[in-house]
Amino acid sequence: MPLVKAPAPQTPAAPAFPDRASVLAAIESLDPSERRAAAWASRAYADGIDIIAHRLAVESDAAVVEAMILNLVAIGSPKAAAVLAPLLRSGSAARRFAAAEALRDLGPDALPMFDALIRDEDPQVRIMAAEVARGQLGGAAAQTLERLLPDEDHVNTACAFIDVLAEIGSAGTAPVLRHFADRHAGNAYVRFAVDTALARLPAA
Amino acid sequence: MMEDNVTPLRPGTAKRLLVIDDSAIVRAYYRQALEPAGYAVEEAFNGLEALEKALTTPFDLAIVDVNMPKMDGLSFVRRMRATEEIACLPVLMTSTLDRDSDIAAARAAGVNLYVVKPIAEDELRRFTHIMTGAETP
Amino acid sequence: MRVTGATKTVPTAVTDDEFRKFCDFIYRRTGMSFGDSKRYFIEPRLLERVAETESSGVQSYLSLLRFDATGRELEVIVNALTVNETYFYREEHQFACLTRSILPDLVKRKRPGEPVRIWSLPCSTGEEPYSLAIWLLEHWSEVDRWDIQILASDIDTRVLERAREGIFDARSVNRLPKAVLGRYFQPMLDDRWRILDTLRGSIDFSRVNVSDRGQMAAFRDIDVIFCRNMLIYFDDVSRREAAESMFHCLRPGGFICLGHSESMSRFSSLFDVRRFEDAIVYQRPFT
Ligand SMILES: C[S@@+](CC[C@H](N)C(=O)[O-])C[C@H]1O[C@@H](n2cnc3c(N)ncnc32)[C@H](O)[C@@H]1O
Repeated sequence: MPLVKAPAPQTPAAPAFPDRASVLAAIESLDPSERRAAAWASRAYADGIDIIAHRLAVESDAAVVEAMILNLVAIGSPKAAAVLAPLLRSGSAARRFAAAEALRDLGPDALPMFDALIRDEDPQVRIMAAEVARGQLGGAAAQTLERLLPDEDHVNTACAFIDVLAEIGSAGTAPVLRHFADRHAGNAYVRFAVDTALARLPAA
Repeated sequence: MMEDNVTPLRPGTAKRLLVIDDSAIVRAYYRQALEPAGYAVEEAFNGLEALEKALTTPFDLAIVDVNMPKMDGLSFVRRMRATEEIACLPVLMTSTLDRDSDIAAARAAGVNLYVVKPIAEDELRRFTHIMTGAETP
Repeated sequence: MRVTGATKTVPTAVTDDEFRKFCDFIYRRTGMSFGDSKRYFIEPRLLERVAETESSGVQSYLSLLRFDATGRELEVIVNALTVNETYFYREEHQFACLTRSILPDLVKRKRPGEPVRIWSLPCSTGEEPYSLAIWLLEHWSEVDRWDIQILASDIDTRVLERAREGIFDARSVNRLPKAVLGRYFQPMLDDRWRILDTLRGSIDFSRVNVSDRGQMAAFRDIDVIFCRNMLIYFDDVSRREAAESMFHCLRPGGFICLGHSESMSRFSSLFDVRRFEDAIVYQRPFT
């Protein structure tokens, strides 16, 4: 029979990075797999976030970016959130969402950053900030969206808030949504979005 | 696997639409506007899911949002146009972005029609009729 | 609630807080994510371990788990929590895809003598890797021209033992054509079937936790990973981490097959989606 037994997997090569200096060198390497390995290795250092942050700003390899973002989330802390926040302005949608998703995964550590971003003057940034709130059930994030919705004058941004509130809102969200729909009575999409959201909110 | 939520009103003749948007509310909006008009509507959450669906089922039109996680609308259209089996699918792109540069980028990617959100239902139906060559029911 | 027995107190319920802490611990170690809807499943298993380790309650059992340097108790509880359902020739169309499309595509780029490495992750009680071996012998015309290595891994040490043993009940081999059953198995007296030793010897079983980067790093240059019906037990963050790990276990151009109800599209954009005649699969890009 031609099937052969695989040689038992080699024990992992000893970590290629004996010290911080070697991680710093590797994260700027021309070889993406080196950079990825360095992103994982940074976790072991107190300034791991800085090591990653420095490179993330210019990194273009999708697999390396993914490794860096996963590690920022794993390290956690408001500082990791501060590194991710500027990416919400990235020209690449994939990167904007990757950052929003990572901020969401950071949970409470991202809340201060969320509070600032959701009031950003760029409506597109506010849309991405709303994504951060998705999944933060029943918390402060929902209340912030409820408070800001009445004054949101970009209708697409408001619709993004409604979209997220449909998922994370409480029975108390309903009056805010109804009020908004009344003010935009002429907009059929807003009416539909509010009706749909109302149907999805938990009952009082 | 993905047939569950397709309800063609006129079996055999219904044009098949692939609605691609990360917002469940937007997808529901398109569905309730288009299904009664006789279309079979299938949904995808982002460009990647849309590619998977388009590769397994033939569609007559894709209605695509721009801003989506994992694979955005423009990347989806570029990838689709470069993939032999699905290269010719007509695309209606909907977006919250309304600068000339956004529209030019969409055209360059291979979008057939670009509409700024929000879209009224009758407008949506009109564009869809035209782009699928469907008889008005 | 506590029932007081003659000699010691045995907890018979788990508080919400204990349940959450326990699930959180398991999640961090394995990626498996259990919500409240799985409580009926978790609770009896947890309480059984609390009783068997003679812990005074869930809290002290949790400390035992945390500070058990041998990892022995973690292994036992993980074994109790995994869902190991599997059978021969499950989702046969993917095996057809392997021999009809994936392997021809892969070997075009290989030099003679280079091995073809296929990894069943997770393999549970072994039906999947043995199915792969049998399918290749039965359906791949080039099977004699290549060195084929089949690797098989799971986090659950109990299922690995059974996989190595190679004895299967009638339900498990139900989908195999009679002729195939006759060629690769010996019937036993109790309606069970023993797989041929040559097949048993040809598969390399090992314990691997997908969520453990160090363990995953030992696997390199894989051509195809069958990763079926495991990520459904994970949440999105662990799915992304698993996808990222597997990406780097594969050679550029290597493939991943997921279970038929699973899709990468919601949690990872690292792979290209490829449609072949029999299945949708994911490919690590060449560059
Ligand atoms: C339902 S079985 C799937 C078996 C086979 N792939 C199939 O599709 O028939 C799921 C397996 O995943 C394994 N598993 C769960 N979490 C794991 C982890 N973190 N690492 C490795 N295996 C894991 C379980 O032990 C179980 O055997």
